[in-house]
Amino acid sequence: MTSDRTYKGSIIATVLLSVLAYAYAEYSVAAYSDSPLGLAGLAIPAIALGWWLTEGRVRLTWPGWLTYIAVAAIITRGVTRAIDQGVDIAVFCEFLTLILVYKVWDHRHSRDHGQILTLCAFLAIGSILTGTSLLLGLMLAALVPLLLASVMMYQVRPDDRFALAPRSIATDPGRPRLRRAFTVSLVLLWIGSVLVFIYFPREIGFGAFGRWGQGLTTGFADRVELGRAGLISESLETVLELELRDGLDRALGGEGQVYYLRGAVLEDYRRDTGTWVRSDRRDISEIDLNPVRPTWVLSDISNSRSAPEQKITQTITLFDPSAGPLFSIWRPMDVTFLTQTGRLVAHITTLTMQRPQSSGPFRYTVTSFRGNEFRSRIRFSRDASFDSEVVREIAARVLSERQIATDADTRPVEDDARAASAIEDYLRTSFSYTLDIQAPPRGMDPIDWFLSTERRGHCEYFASAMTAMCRSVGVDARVITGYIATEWDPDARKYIVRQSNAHAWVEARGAGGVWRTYDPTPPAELRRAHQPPQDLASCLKRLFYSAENRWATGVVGYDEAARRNLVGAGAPIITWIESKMRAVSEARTPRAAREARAELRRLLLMGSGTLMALVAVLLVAPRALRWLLRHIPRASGGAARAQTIPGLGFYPDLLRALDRRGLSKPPGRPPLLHSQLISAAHPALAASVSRIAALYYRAAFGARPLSDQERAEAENLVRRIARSGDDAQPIPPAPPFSDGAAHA
Amino acid sequence: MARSARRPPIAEPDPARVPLRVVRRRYHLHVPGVVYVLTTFLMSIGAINSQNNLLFWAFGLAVTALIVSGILSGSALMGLELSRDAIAEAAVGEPLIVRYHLRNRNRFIPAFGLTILEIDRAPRRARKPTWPAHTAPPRAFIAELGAGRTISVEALAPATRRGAATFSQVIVSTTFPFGLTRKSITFAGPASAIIRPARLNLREGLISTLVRKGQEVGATRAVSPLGDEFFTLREYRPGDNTRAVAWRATARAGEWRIRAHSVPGPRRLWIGIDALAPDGDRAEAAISLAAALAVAAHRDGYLIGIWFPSADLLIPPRQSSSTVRTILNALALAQLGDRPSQPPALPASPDRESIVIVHADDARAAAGAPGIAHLTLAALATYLAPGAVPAALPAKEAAA
Repeated sequence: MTSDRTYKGSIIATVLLSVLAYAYAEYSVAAYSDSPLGLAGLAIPAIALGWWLTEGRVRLTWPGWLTYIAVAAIITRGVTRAIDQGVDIAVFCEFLTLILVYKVWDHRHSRDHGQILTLCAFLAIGSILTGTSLLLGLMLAALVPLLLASVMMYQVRPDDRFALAPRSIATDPGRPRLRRAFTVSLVLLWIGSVLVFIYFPREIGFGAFGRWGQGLTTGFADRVELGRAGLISESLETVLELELRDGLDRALGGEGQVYYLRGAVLEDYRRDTGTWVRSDRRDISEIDLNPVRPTWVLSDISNSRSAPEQKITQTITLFDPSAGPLFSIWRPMDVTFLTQTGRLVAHITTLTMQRPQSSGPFRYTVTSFRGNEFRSRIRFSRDASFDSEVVREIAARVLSERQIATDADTRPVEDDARAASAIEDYLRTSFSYTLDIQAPPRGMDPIDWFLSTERRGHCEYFASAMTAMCRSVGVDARVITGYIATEWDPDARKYIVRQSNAHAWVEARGAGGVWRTYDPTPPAELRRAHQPPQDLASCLKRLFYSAENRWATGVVGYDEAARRNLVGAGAPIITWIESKMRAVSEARTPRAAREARAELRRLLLMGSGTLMALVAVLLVAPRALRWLLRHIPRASGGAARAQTIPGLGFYPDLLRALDRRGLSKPPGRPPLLHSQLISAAHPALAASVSRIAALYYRAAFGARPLSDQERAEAENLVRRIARSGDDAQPIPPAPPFSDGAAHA
Repeated sequence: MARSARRPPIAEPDPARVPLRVVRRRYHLHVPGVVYVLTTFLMSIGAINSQNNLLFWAFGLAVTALIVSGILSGSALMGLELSRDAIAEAAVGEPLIVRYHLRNRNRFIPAFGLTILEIDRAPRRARKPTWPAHTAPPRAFIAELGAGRTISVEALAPATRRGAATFSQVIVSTTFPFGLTRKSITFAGPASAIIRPARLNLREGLISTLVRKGQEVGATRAVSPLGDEFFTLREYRPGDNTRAVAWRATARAGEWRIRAHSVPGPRRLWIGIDALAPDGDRAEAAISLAAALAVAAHRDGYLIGIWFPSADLLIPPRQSSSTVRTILNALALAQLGDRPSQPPALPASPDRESIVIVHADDARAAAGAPGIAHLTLAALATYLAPGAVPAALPAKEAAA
């Protein structure tokens, strides 16, 4: 048996790790909303203190009324939170954590250890439902052996409610058997879980019970608030991976080449708050993408004028599974979902897209067109304006210096692009870049403040200022937020885009309504800001995030395609079920859908019927077998031999009689030895058995047949044993009046 | 030859050890198991619904744990053999000790976390065991048992009531390795034990205060050659010491004569018990006091007789080493009747024997025959040794 110290150490380690894992899972999904590690910060010290007080030298026990109050308080808090926020994983896990803290502070019996371990297991499941990051996976991987060891050590401890005496608890000293059992169990568990992980068919039943239990990680905001952190982030966490090919299927990209991935288009500026937001135009189009219709053509410009060199096919892997924007290079033509089915939401005017929630990394392909041949179908009107004298004055001065007309009505449309370039150039050369976030003075518009006073800022200020200046001189412009792909991985031949690569830039409309991309941020500063840091800590961080990417693509993003690649299509029955389920979801006519549904219903009925029949057989079969074994005469060993030798029929009768008396002779035990073993409790009966056995031995093995008298004697003895079988009450070992005392 | 030399010697069967036969193997789905299965099911639904791969992994872990649990524990229990020693007598208030020997015939798989528990069931056509009326459930625990090894353990159950406790079925169960299901083997085999009345520690000299004056010494008995006073001459018997030869008498008679000396004969004490079934706990207390008197009197050299009219029990004083054991066992098994005690009609010689009657009801003691020592439970504290705590007595007397 393991030492008490090891056992209790294992339990407290399990508790702390499970709470830490859940707290980290919650933190990882709420990191961008500045959520602190509040739960872990409170619960872990409370658990450590509670354990020290109750298991250490103090051995504190609490009065019953105090524990009732604690439980009532925890339940009240859980109910209140459930009413306020609804029942979700976070509320439930917080409740579990509080109960765990309470149990650690108030555990009295060994059974409480079992309850604590159960709560830890539930908390681990809660962690899985909350987050899917690599660090969480590592914590859970460490938690499994700890939990297993604790549970196994718990099982080899007596229940202290029965207060067994030390003499009533025994252990076989010697080899470390429990350690071996633990190792074997752990290996089997890992093998089993990996097999289930690999072989379990995916995509069957996705979303059948609604969407819940998904991670909520997002680092992207579709608004810009000047004077606040906004897109500024120094996190090296990987957001996406980008692979590029041109229309001739040649790989694109390389060291020094930069690509802008648009995520949101911000057209409306609110001066009172200094905020850029999406336009509230209702130009949304929605479509379900599935294996039958995996691609949606956003803008049909695949005409003869579009050279294949101008096309860019971007294969993007987004690691955040929650719903959000799809990033793409301007200008997207079509989008294809590679790993997921679901509803795509597109804004027709801005050509931005929203993706559905996924179970893991989200992979898709976007084909973009880099040429200027595209002409907008929407009527082009030059009604852009920006209500700021400061901005208008500066913009007019910039255009005047470049001999470009400032009045939109008199300026040729072809000069709009020149005007935008002039403003871009002005901002790049006349303003400095800084990541210091400073808010403008109260009552002053941030753009005015940036252009007139501060003259330094980050990308959001530059993009906002350019957009405002363009609009003030009648050039339509908008702020774009997204990521800038600068970090080229030469081995994988793809870009790694991190959270710190978030950026804001501008799109301005030129002649013919063509939107072009401008980036007013000083290029040298931009490169420096987005250059991956080379210090040791940053290298380690990148290594970690690289491992996290592998984890996200290999484990969290393991999908049906990956499964098929690894193990093939799987069992025919699974393929058949999949095809039937697809037939229902992809049926084009109501009649086809009805027929597919009917077939699926038949399948479900058949499956459940088979399952019920199997359960019934499993329940009935052992009982039937037991009944048969009880009622069919057994003939084996000596009994079988007795049946083959004439005149030895009394021997099977003897075995049956002994069986009825509850003194069955185990197979393989000689009858004479059996008679000796039962002689202690049944001396008279043992003597009869011994005599019968002697006769049986002589006839069966001594080749000396029994006389009629001997056979009759044996049969007589067997009958007597059988008759006395009604009195199966055991004889006490020491009859109270056996020494002849008078018993009146 | 070498092979046979390696074989372990065949163990001599221990007459006191009764091997139990296996009557049933079972998997019990208890509450933790049901919760676990439900959680696993919900986890599978969650994994399918959300396609969360970590949930698939956790589901795989849960399913494998269920399978591993069934296989490990089932195979570990498969090779267990249980035997139980003959159970020694115990007294009320003291633990009844049931000794088990568990052998793991399995060649590779050890067994863990085994609970051994006597159960209140018997095979078909057999009588139910009676131990629940006499003791708490005997229970023992074995943390580890290696493959091919045997271990012994004792279950200590406090005896609560006198009588014959019979045992039948024993269940050996485990929830190892993960506590998901409880697996058990039920063994059957008869055993019995006598639970004697509670032991009371009487004060020194109590017996001498109870016997009648003049009866401290018993009748004279001739013994040769030891003794205090000359008693008689007798003929020689083989084995007599030559120093006991009465030479003059031998010479006179012409044959061997031996001097016989006298020693006092053993004193006799009759212990009567005046207790009826309706007296309940007081009757049990009276029986315990009578048993304690018998033990103390035997220690003081008395021959003891028991007279217990309501239980139809009469044991005359006898010179035998097993008398006390016989008396205690008889008192343990005595079945009380409802009839009131009859007037004393003891086969005793008043001049040679003392009589003590223990009364369960103080009122009946007051009406007792004169010349006889009457003990009542009201005065129990005065009979006990200082500091002795009476076990299993009515609360009133125990408090006194």
